[in-house]
Amino acid sequence: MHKSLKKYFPIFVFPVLAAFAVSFLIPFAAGVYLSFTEFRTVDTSTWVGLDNYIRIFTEDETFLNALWLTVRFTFVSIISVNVIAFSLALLLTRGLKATGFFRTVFFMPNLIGGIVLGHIWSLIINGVLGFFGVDITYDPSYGFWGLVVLMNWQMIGYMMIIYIAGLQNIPDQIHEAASLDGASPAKTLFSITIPMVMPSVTICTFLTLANSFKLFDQNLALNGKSPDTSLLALDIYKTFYDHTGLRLAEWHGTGQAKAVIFFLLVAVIAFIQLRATGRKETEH
Amino acid sequence: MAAIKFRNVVKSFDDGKVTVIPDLSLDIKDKEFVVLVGPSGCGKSTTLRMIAGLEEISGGELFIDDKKVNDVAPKDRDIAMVFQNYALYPHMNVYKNLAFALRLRKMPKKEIDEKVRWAASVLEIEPYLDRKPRALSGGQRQRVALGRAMVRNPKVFLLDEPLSNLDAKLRTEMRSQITMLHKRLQTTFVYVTHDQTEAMTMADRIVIMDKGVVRQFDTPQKLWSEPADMFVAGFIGSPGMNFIDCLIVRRGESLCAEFAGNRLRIPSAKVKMLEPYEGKNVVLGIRPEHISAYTGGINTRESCVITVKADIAEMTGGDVNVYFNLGESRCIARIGTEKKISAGDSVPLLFDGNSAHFFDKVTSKAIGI
Repeated sequence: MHKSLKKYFPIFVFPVLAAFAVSFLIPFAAGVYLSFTEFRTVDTSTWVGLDNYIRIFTEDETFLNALWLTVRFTFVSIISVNVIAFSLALLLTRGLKATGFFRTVFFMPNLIGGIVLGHIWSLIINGVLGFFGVDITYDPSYGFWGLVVLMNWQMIGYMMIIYIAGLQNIPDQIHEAASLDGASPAKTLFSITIPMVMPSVTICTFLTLANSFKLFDQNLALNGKSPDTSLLALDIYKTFYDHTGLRLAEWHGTGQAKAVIFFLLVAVIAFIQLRATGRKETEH
Repeated sequence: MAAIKFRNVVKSFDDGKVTVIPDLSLDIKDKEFVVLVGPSGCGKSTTLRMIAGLEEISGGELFIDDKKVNDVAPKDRDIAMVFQNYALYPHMNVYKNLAFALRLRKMPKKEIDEKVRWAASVLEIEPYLDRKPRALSGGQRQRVALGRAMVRNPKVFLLDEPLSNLDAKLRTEMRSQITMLHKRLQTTFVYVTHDQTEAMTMADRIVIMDKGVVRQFDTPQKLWSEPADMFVAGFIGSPGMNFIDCLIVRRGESLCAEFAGNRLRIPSAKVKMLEPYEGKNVVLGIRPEHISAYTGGINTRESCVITVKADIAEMTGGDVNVYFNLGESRCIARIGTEKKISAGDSVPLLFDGNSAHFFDKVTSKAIGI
């Protein structure tokens, strides 16, 4: 059985491998190649070596600002989303009344698309700021915190569900043993509960990190017009589409180079994070 | 080291809609090894958890060492508990599992180390101190769970079916280890099990529970020889006691029990207590061990020979369990292997009247106890 399966292994793997190659590997490789070229369309590219990468750090004024903003935004989002989601998960696993209702309510924002969400929050935030005679573009910090609020509103429910699953996986008797051992609720939380939900922490941190770093549509809809509050993904988009005229091919290449740097950053940070939190995981 | 007293304790769930323990009064002495035993759902684990403080008491009073503990938090009761599924902290190694409670008490590191190593050496788990629980076998995990309780030197040791996840051989081994541990620690042990062999072999006294009610609280010997009612008589012993409906009649000078066309003379010691039942139906209880194969030897006045048709003959090693019907009662006899018996054989059996028990048919209580 095992042997005959091995024999036909290439036949079974081929369709998936072909689809993966056509839809991901080839475009990815083409993307990396294009970052070293100037192009208007993908088949009219001219090799320029590292020019695009050099231009990002010399001529382009927005990339470093967007990178720094993205790093700050990701850092704040990871902490706020996970702390609030975990706290809600703790509350909603205490057997309180209407737990099911609240779980559904908290999860619902996740079902709304990013563009719609961005517009809804843009209306809300601008509505509030309107009382003070300003809007979200008035100060970059407004846009930043608006994005943080939006991200939290959207992600908390999803992360909460993952934490609830993790918490429910801890046998009640472990907590009972801790209380008999003399552990206070706070001590139980930090010495028993959190170490035992490390698999959930790993996946939630990874998801928040990746989603925050890649945030695009919410950013576009909420404060896309403000030049100071573009995160990396939006900045790449603007590099591509906000330039016109003779140097269009150059900026296309530059946008592509930014996308490659963006990919490397996300991959490296996610890898480090998975290694760091994964090490603290324990099977139980 | 502590005595535990239950005074009319009630435990109910769902705002009093479901009562699992209606009225429990129990005195467990200091340093005693008490086993709570009974069928599933009888309230034995709930009773143990009430001692631990893991279940609130709905009514009545619970005392540990003459101190009322109804509202005392588990951590302040100075008790340790060993759980059925061990409940070890999976992210800590064995050493840290054992040391956790001591660290919480802010005990000096040196003292913690001494206690952990002492417990580890007593339980023979020293080589595993650096291992995480998942790298241990069931028996080793159970020993770690015992060690975690030992290092604290608690007033009361609670054990909730600690051996039920182990295989038969390991269970026997651990049983004797726990008994030795009790002798060594000189602490009150309260042990929950549904296995009567564990109860009989380990306990100083056994609490037999059924539907939240204590049926009998006595020494293993007394439970065996003087069961308070049919439930206890049927629960203790494997196979359980045979129950046969019989009529108490006087034949000449003697009082006899008549059943399925047979007659058993009532032993003189039991005549007085059965006289009020003359002409009435009672239940005759006789253990399978007290029915033997009749080989034609001397038949005493208080025994009778009944020839039965064996339906099933089960070889158990040293004995054979013979199943047969007597009137409407299904009975089992445990007899020696000297004579080969097969299903369908007619077997003459000797019923030992001196070992017979009699129960009131209405109340199911033992007559004369």
